[in-house]
Amino acid sequence: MVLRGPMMRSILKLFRSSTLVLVLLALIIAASIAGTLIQQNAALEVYSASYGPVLAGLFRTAGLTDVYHAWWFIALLVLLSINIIVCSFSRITKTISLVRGTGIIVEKEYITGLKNTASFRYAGSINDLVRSFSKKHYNTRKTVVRDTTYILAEKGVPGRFGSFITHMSIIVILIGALIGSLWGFKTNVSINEGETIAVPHRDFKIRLDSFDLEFYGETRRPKDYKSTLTIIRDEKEILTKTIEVNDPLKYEGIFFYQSTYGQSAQPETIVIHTDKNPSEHGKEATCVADYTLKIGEQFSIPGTEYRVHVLRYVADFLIDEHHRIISRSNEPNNPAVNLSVHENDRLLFDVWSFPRIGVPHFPENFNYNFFLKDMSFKTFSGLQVTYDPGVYVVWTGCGMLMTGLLFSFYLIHRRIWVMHIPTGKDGMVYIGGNAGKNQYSFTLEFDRLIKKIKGAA
Amino acid sequence: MIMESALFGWSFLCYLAATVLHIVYHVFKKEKIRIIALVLTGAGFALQTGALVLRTIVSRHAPFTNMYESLIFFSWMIILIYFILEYTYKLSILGAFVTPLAFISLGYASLLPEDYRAIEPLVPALQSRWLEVHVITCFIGYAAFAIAFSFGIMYLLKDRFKFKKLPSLELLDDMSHKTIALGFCFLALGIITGAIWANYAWGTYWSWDPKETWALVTWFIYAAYLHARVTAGWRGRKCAYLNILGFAAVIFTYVGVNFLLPGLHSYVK
Repeated sequence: MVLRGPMMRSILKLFRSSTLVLVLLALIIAASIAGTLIQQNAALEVYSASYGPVLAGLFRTAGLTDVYHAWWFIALLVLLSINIIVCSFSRITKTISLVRGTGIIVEKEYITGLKNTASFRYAGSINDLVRSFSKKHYNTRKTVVRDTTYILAEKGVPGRFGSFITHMSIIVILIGALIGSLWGFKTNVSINEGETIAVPHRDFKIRLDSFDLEFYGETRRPKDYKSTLTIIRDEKEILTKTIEVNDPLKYEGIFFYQSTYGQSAQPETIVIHTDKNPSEHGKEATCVADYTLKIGEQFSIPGTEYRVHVLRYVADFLIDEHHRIISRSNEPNNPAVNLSVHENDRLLFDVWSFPRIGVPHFPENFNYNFFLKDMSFKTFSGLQVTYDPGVYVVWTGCGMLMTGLLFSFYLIHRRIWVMHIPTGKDGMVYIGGNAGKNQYSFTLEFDRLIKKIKGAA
Repeated sequence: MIMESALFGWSFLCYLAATVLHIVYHVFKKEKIRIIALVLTGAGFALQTGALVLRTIVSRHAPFTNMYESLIFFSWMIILIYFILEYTYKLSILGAFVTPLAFISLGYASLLPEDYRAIEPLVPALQSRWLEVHVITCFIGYAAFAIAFSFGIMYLLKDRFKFKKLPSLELLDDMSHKTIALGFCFLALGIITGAIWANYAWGTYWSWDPKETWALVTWFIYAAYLHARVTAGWRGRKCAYLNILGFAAVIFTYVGVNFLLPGLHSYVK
């Protein structure tokens, strides 16, 4: 059979070794740490800026820019899983036979040969003997063969399986993660009030009925933000729920989380304040009107043939080194709006208008000035839409992990054999026991038990 | 918050005095000194409990939502576990090594600039019962590892200098093992509750955030410690070194990540 061949045997030997565990763990630890020290999933320019182009390219090829999804990282996890499975199953048979043990009836020499052993004359009753073990939470089984009573007191059996359960739990967790990454999805969506969007990979939609944002007092520190969402399928409203952070909406296995919020980068409407320049030098400009309109709309200056189109808006105006006009960020730090002025359908010029200075320079003489007076933004709600079929497997694994740890550390398998041979008025008892681990504290418990039994008799 | 500062200041002084007295006791072995040291530690603990309760009442949230609060909570937890261990195992020497940790933690907290200390209302992400569950389990773990670290230091001192006043190497090794096992279980629970909470709040139970990753790294290091004992039969000195490496990871996970790395738990602006 293939499993018995020499090559298979040496492969299994490799995977049974604890050195391999330490090597794999060390590599996984090192890679995980690298992923926290090197920024993950950033643009190449970011790495070039911090590490120089050569190192940046190296990081990219080595997968250090996305460590946790690199093929070799996954491979390390797979190898570790195989290692865990092989080690656990090769040890479990030994554990099972250790637990089955030698049974209730044993030879006297077996008991006296144990590390913790005592033999003495005992005048008390068998029941008292059993009770002193029960008091210490031992399960006792008793059998009588030709006047000799055999007792087996045992506790903490699950403790032997703690290691197996703990290690298998890690495999279960990894399987859950695998299921989630293969069959699940996770996306971020921004949705505006009143907007309905299609849910990815599904046949229903979701509508944001209202978005509430509350700050603490006068600060910009968010106190609470909630979205009221309605699920719509085939034009019918299925359910409505108000979600907030830590309280998502669940429908058909899909979760909608209140993740964040923000202001749309583009304004909903802007206000252009139009002034007519003073006729004489030294006089004040006169206000013509404030025009409230959307990007792409236009207005006319009354009493003239001028029409002004609002072309586009940038939040953070900057002229870059290639003389292009760009927005440095999405925050309205230096807002400006691009206007084109037409006369009788003929394009006169194309200018930029700012809040305080208006249009800094007109290419030719022009009697008016335009100021970007105000912008109003829509606040959007940031939702995280996820579907993870593996998450329940992961929670099962976590439960197994905690159970396994509890069994490993706090349930110790302890067994005590007793042989009672009646000799006339009283009897000879032979008591001996052992423990799965922590021999020192078992010896203490054993000695205390013996003292109690001797004292009671 | 004058009352709270006063309580905090007095508990700091108590721990400082207790540390000195614990050490003095072990030099002179006068039982009376030991009693006073214990009383001072107890007083410091009581004052700290008062400070934490006061802060909870005033801020209307659990007293561990920023670095300042968590450092005080950390030092409080260390002393609590120390008291439990002292009562169970009657290890009087432990006081001399644990109270310094408590007062270093408080000392560091007192050095934090004002804006790290301010009582702030909770942002929506923190408004959850999971906050208490996750943070408390993590800090029981951290505190257990801190005490294990004390045992590790005691082991290395005994090993190198053979101080007669320190307990046997075997006992110190065994206590290190026990406290690491305790910390290991609670850190596991802390990581798991963090994952459950993250799943409720953001839909992802694991996103390789530096804090999450470093907590896992710490857990793996202690897993290596436990494996080395069981499968490779390591004892004593090698274990003590791994113990200290593990605690270095705890400190980096607790404080280093917040101040040196970006991410969800970051204070880096």
